[in-house]
Amino acid sequence: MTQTITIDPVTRIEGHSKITIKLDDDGQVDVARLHITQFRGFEKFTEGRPYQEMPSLTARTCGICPISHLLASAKACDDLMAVAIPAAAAMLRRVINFGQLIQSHALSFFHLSSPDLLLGMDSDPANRHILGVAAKFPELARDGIWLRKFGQQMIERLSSKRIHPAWIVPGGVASPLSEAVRDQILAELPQALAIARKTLDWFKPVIGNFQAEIDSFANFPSMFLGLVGPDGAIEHYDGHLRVVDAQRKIVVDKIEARDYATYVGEAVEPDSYLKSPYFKPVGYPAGLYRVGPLARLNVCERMGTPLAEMELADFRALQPEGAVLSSFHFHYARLVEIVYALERVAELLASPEILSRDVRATAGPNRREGVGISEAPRGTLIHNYRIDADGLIIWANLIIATGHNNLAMNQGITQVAKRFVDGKQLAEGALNRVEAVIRCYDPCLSCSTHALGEMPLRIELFDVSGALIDTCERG
Amino acid sequence: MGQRLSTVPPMTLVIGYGNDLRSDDAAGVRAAGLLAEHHPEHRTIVVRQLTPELAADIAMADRVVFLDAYPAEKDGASLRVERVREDGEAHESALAHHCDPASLLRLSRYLFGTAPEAWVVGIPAFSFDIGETTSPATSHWIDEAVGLIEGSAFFSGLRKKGKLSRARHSGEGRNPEKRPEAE
Repeated sequence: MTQTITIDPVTRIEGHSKITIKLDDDGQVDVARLHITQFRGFEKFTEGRPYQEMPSLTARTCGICPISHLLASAKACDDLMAVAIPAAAAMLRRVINFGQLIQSHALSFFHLSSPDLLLGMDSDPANRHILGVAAKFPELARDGIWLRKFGQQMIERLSSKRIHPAWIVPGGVASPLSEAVRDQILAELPQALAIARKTLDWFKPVIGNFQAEIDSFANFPSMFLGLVGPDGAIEHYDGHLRVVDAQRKIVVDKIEARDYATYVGEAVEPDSYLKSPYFKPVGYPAGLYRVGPLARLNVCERMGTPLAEMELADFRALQPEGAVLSSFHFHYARLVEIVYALERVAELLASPEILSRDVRATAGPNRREGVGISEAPRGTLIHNYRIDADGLIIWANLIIATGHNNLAMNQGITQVAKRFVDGKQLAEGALNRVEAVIRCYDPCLSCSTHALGEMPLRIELFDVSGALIDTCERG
Repeated sequence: MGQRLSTVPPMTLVIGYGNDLRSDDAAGVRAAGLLAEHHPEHRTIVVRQLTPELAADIAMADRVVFLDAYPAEKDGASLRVERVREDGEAHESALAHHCDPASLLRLSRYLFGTAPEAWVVGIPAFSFDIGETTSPATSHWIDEAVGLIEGSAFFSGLRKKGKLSRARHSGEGRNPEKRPEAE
């Protein structure tokens, strides 16, 4: 008799979801599905609004990564206006994007995932959280808190607000950078870099302790999508899209923002509000690809900063013959990206040009359709708007990192459930691993369904006939 | 060398939290804003939700007042004042992106070796609809909360500023030079 296990809610992620695990006649895992159970619909209710409002409106999608939405939205508006923004504005947008990446990656690694890594996947769930880490590993927890605060303060210093700043605007940024703010950030960069390097030095030797998780946490061949610069270097703000395969061979390169829809399709499944983007030339669902830190390190040819370049070499050594495939290594990739971001911020702030007072281009709408793409902490973020003659939004499409990863997350939970879940005897540690593979992607369901809330999780166990036989809930 | 007596008065950290787009949910934020205007010698932070990073700020304070809204019925509503126990059970939210006051005190203790005395002042809230102003009833309780804190030992020696107009609870008329630290 087939059975189904449900994990509802999924914890330590952003948003609401549940997982169902279907068992076969022998009580073994047949398939697992992630269901996103929340909906907001920003694409719909922004219709009729002036395009200039889109950065502020869409930034409200999320309290964790509003900067990412501000950037992609402002870039889509730049495209509608057909302007080239001032060089200093582009540099400042890059700096604040790195502040966002640093704070978000620190949140994911230290606050949400370090409990699994430090306390163990099978440890008592009552203590498997940031407080438990703080009690046993105060130095690491302190570092995590400091690093996240540093990223948040970067955003606050640049824009006067930590969450939902109105500083990134169509055409550039609202105000120039002062020397005082630049110097404040520069003064704290060495400590931030020291923390990032120390954490990498701790993490790299212990990765081998998680071989079972590495082998089964969404460890399968897939394509990867991400932005790269003109020279193939990692890119978070501009550049073009590249798709590589599991051997890290380029499938498609130099995809311009406005051509994204030629390559990215969006399928809809009946059991989830989260759409399932796929690589169109391959079709659905075979066109599965991944985005985010792991993908960015797989699609790029180089990092372009000294320390991050060395870290990339170590990272690539995990899988010298091709792309690093296990989603467990999203954690590692995040740490490498933090080092890179800190180095790039130092470079950008060292340029005298960044203090220029010329930070905004002005124009009315000069195109009826605009596309903006940037790399959010969780992956590629696409904003696509169409406007009428009055500049009012008549259609909007937002493709969010977590959406890109939907197919991969579903395949990943099936893989990990098959490896760890025993349908005859549910173990908390096994269910935690099913959640943990999702946490590798650090999904933000508020963004990807444009929804609100935290992400509790529910696991349901169904038999062959579809009857619910067991449930495990949290949140 | 003789003993040096500190002339620095104890520092109280006021943390007001809530969603300022959800009417009365902003009660703690509004009350903290008023205290920041009138008592700039103390530190005030307003946030939408409590996050682990606040542990570092808490560790530097001599005492902490958390200001929050709680859903109440109009009949029998009152301020809820509770001492925060750092050994209290960790709230489920500690697993996610935000914390509760007890978890923050424990974080402060674990990470920085100190946890100041702390209190939560719960302000009755009656409407959580979308809106940027508080209801008249909650505005009254915001005044009461501010008066209670000003009259308490936390702010002893400070001149009580008296009742404040409700219009200011919606954020109007603020002195921008004395705003609380905000997200």
